[in-house]
Amino acid sequence: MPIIVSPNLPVNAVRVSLHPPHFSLPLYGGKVSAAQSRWASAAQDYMDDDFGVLGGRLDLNVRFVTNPPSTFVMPVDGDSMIKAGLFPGTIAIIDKNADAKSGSIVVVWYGDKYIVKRLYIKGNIVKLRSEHPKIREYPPILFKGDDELVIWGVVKHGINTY
Amino acid sequence: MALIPTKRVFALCDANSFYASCEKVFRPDLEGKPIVVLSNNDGCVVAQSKEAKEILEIYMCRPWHELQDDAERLGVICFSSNYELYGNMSNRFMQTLSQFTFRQEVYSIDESFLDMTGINRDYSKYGLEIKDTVKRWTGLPICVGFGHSKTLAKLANHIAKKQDRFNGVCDLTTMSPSDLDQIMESLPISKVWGIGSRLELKLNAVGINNVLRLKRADPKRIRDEFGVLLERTINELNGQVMLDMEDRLPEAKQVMSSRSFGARVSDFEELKQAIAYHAGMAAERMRAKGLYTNAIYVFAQNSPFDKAAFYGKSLTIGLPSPTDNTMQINQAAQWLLKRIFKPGIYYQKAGVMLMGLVPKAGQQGDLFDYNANHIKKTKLMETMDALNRKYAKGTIRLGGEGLTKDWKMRRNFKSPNYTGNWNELPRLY
Repeated sequence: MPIIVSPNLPVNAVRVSLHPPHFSLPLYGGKVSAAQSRWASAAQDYMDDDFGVLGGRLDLNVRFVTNPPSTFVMPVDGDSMIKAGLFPGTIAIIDKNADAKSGSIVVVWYGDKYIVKRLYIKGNIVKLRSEHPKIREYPPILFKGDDELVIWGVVKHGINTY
Repeated sequence: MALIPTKRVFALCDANSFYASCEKVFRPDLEGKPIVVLSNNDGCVVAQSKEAKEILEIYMCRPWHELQDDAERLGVICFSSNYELYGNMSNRFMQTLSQFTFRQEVYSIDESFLDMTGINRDYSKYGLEIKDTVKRWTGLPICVGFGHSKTLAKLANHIAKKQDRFNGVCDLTTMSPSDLDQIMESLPISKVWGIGSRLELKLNAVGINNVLRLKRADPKRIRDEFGVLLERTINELNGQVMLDMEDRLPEAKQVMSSRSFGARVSDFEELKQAIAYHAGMAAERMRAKGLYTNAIYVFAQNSPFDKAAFYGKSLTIGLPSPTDNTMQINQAAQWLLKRIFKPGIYYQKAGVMLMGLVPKAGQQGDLFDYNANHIKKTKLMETMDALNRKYAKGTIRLGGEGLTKDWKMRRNFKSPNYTGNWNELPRLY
């Protein structure tokens, strides 16, 4: 039996949380199904806005997960980026779709693990830099010539627990 | 509907080697390497990457233990099925597609039809845009096929997958008739949606041995000889829409939870635990849809391939009134299990199905007030579901569900749940 996705639902109206969803229940309480989509999406347009408010409540997903299909979560384990606010235990919110520019904090598969570093591009020089007070102990990774740097995603937010 | 009739256009978007591709998204080092994914209990190969197909004559559903040595020698990397991951990636894929159309039909975990009617675009370009967006957003490689019917869109997708010159996007709607004929002539009819190997043999016997010949076959004669379904297929191949988008979600009629045991189970206590687990899972799934069950079905069986005689029994019970309460469902399921259990059998599979599902609104009370404590219990169930969602699956269970789940599926080569479990997310160094 095919599964149907409700039509007329713009992609940014579908709120998908990162983990099994815990939607705040919209006031109209209707289940969005094809049969009532016209009404439901009209209601949704009215209730959503782009400032992270959903049904009168702040919604962290709206604010920090701007594009659910391309958003991934990885916890930080190393300490090489503590000056950038990424500590061991920080939850990094990663957008796989974002453009990586010089200055972006990027996630890269390096050797046999994921690393998080500041991307530095100037002319032909491409580096991944750490941000740590003892920077000498964290030398940059240089990419030159035919080296390939595949960026997995760009870190957009870091969540710390105190 | 549109007042001016426009020719219908369908797109079929299909992920390449979906399970293997999901594994590769989180393991970039596996790019270009042969990967296979095994079925439940690591029984046989159910999916393989392009590279695995090329180097090994691994046919789907050959038992893994027969292939294991050869595969490992050739550097094939194997994974147990990671359904949690595939489901999560499928949702991302489908959601990414939804921006490209006003009407989408999710056809399976890794393919989706998009209604392109009225979207006047250069479909080859639009298809590339769809493909690139899915790749950028999710990391998944896909192919896109366009046609004037779903059957043609499916065929176009197949061509896009197999013929590199199309670069993953094939638009049959703008192809010149001579090119189209040439391609169709080169394809065996088994590549057409809905034509299985048995039908292929029968059609080959009457000289229909390529898609072009099938397309040009006389629909009337075909119907007399092969039935109305094949007549439909021929019309579809000629660009007549016989199968439209399914635009309404069919009401779920049942919810099932069942699984093969990792090892055979003969102990009644263990079977009870399994049934309690499945009752809990099915109930949770049903509650997520806001439905209540009217009847419960339980089955247990040994394997038809075991040396012992086959034993499989199932039993259904109707409830005094609809419920969504795990305790009531479990109670009924256990009652049923007691009646189908036979000692001395080595059970291979058991499960629970909830049937006759009704929405909350349609609920009727019964004379004896089966649901007397209903409101209190509903709260309890909600809390239970919420906790299980918040933490790992199975954090909170009913007493009868047991603590050691020896009977759970064997998944020795499973990758982490990269997207759905806080404890298994990839770490950044």
